[in-house]
Formats: sequence, structure tokens, C-alpha cells
Amino acid sequence: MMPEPYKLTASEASSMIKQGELTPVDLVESLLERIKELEPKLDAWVTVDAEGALKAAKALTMEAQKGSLRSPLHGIAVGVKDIYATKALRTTMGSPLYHDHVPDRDSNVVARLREAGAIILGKTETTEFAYLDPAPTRNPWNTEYTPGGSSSGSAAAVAARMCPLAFGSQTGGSVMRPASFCGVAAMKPTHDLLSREGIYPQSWSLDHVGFMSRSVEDLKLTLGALTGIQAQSLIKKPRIGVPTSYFNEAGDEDVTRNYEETKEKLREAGGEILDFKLPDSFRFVHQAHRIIMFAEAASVHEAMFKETPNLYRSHMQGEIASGLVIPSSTYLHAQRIREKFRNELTASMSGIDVVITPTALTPALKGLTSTGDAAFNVPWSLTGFPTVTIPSGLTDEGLPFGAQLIAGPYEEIKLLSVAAWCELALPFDAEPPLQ
Amino acid sequence: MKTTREDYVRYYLDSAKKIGIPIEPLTQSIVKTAEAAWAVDSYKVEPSDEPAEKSPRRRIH
Repeated sequence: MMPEPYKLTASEASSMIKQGELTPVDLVESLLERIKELEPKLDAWVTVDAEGALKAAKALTMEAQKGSLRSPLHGIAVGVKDIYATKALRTTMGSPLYHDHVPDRDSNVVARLREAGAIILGKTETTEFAYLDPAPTRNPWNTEYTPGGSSSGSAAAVAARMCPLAFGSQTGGSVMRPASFCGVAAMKPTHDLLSREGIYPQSWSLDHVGFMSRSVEDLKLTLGALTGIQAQSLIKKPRIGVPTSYFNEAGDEDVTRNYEETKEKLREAGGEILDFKLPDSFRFVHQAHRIIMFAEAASVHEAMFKETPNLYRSHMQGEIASGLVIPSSTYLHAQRIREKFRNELTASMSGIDVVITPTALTPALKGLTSTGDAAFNVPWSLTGFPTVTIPSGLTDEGLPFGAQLIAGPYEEIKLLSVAAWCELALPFDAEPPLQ
Repeated sequence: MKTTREDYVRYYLDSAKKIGIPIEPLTQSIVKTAEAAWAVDSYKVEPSDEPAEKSPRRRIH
């Protein structure tokens, strides 16, 4: 018996649409029902474009019935973080300053998605300007907990099976961390692999496009449809570097225990687990990241902040105010540290396929006032290296852990191959306990 | 000339006041930034640390 369409992963739905066993209309209608049922509890969406999605679904259904499929994303409904411009669809940046803003054109990624036959289901909740002031979204695993951020709505929507695929962005940890908190897979490709044109900037040189799904297969499908990069065969015996400092001690007790268990499972599955020494420049990466991010964010917001400071929430106010007083020499020092770290890391990684770390310092936090800490993700946002997170277990309270894999620049094929291998070694079939 | 952590914190808070930023609610963020700046400025990157050739950048449009 065919499962309810909303339960399908993107790959499963894609295959069924190709075989003529499912129509894009069926998929969208099932997802809209799911959203109607769960949205009052989860608040994952700013705007659901039911009319637009169904109109697109009907057109794509007709194309499919004529045998014309645009890509493996043909007919797949996606959520898009509400900082991506979407033509004629309200885009608020999570801020009252853009409450009624309606872009007149799509961002580059959204345009590509539409060309590939994907359907924009709606705009998912973001923290204010993709920083730390929380969105109202709740974690589907326990609605008293944060889903993380800043791509809060996208992570929650995918975890809750409201859409099989959703897009976010990461400047510090805003794709990896919410994906980990919500028990979904996610990818942040190399910094400039996917265009950020039309995505409201937090920090130009740190912002990354990212996306979330329920499997590594879906990540491969998405990357392939958008870039032509095809991750093919599984790697046989991945060489997985484990940092000998910081990541094995900075996380909380539960995360550290899960990390040890994860490494052991990967070793038992036949992976080569190797010590990986972090370069000396690692000591300053978090500080360098803060300086760069704050200076660039202040530059984005300077004019609006001076006019309407009180329309910003407290974290944004702190970021902009601090950023406005950073001297250019300090900003440039930070960029030089960044370049040094990037070069040293590239050299260090020559003997391994990927580095593995926990994705987040903690599981999801109780309450909605904090979206968590991006410390385990910041170094890879700073370097622009591609990362993937996959679920790696549950706490005793039923909240997900994540394992983060990092590869060298433009090594997406290797990264996804290792991620697929790890996914087999770390099976995770749990679902959020939603009615 | 800023050298100590306290110099940095004082400089950042004074700079924020000079441009009309209300310090009180934002002190924590400004102080944390000052501390980050102190760390960043303390780490010297020598010209010899920067390779002559940069790795190529690719973008797909």
C-alpha cells in the first residue's frame, strides 16, 4: 500500500512521479493537509502559498504526464527560508521592517528550483535577519524545545514531514544546528558553489546557501539538480579524521557520549578512524568569525539601524552596535587569520576524506528564547568548506543528536559519498512523536 | 594604543558612546566583541604565512 505522500522523502517522491505513480498535485495536497494539521503547534511557516503551489503542481503534472520531466526535483514541493526573495510572495526577513515586503523577482536559488520543476510551497520562519532573535517555531520532537536557528522553520518543516526538502542559510551554524536539533539531514555546500544573489545578507563573506532533507540521498538529488554535481558510488573504507582537541570536550555530556558511540559504530562498520590535529590558528577562529560577521552585518544594517534602531530586537541591536565600532585593521586581521586557518586546514586534511565532529554542543534547548550555540559549526563557515549533518541518535528524553562531516573545498562528491556510508552505519528511523 | 583586554573594552564602549549607541542594554555584546578583537589583534599573521598562489575559486551561476 502506498504511504501517504507527505511521508515520502524527496527521492521516493521523485521516483514515484517519474514512474507515474504519484502526481505533483497529490504530493502538494497531502503536504498542505499536513501543514494545516500541524502548523498551529509548530509555527514553521511565515507564508504558505497554497494557491501558487497547486497552480504549479497542476502545470508540472501535465508536463510529467506528457513524459517531460525537468529534473529529479520535478514536482517536489520545497520550503524556502524567509530571507530568500520569492517573486510576488511576501519575504519578511523575520523583521517588522520587512513585514509587507514583496519582491519583484526570485533569488537565484529559487529561480533555479522553479526551472528544475520544484514547487515553492511557502516561506519558512527565520530568526530576525537570520541572526539570534528567535522565530516562534517549535521543535517537532518536543514543542517545549527550540528547533534551533536561524533556519528554524525549514528544519521543523522537514522533520514534521510538512515538506520533504527545505532551504536555509548559514553564517555561523544556521543550517547544521537546526538540522541536528530536529533530527534531519542537511548540507552546506562550499561557500560560493550556490549563488547567494537575492538572499538577504547577514554577512556577505560568511553566508552560505544550505538545504535540509530526510536522507543523504535527498541531499545528493538536490545538489545534483542545482549544480549538475553527481555523487555516485559509495566510498568503501572512508578515512575519517577525529579532532584531538576541542570537539571531544566542549560539548555537553550527552553530546560527548553520543560522539564516542558514533565513532565506535563507524569504526565497527569498517571506517578508518584517524586522529586529526587542529592547526594552531584554530585557537582564534571563533573570535575571527565574530569580528568578520559583526563588521559585515553592521555594514548591511547601518542606515536602517540609525533611522529605526528600536525596530530591531536585542541580539541584532548588539551585533550591529558592536560591528559599527570595529576598526578596519581588526577586521583585516580577522580575515588574515581566516585565510591562514583555511590554508593550514586544507594541508592538514590531505590524508583524510572527512573530519567528523558533533554537529552541536548540546541537543535542542528547552524554551524558545535561545536557538543554541553555533560553536561547532563556525570554523567551517569561516573557511567555507562543505559540511553535512546526519542524525546520530536520540537523548533519553527523545531529542536528536547530529554528526557533522566536513570535507575540503569543492569536495562535495567525496563528502556525500562518505555521508551516505555513515548513514548506513548510523541507522536512524525515529520520527517526531506528532499525532 | 590598545594593548590589554581592559584597553579594548574601554575603547569599544567609548567608541559606541561617541556614535550615539545606547550602551546600557548592549554592553554584553560590545564587551564580547571587544574581547574577540583583542584576541584577533594579538595573533600576528606574518606575510610568509600567506602563500603566493591562492586556491582557485569556482562558482556556478
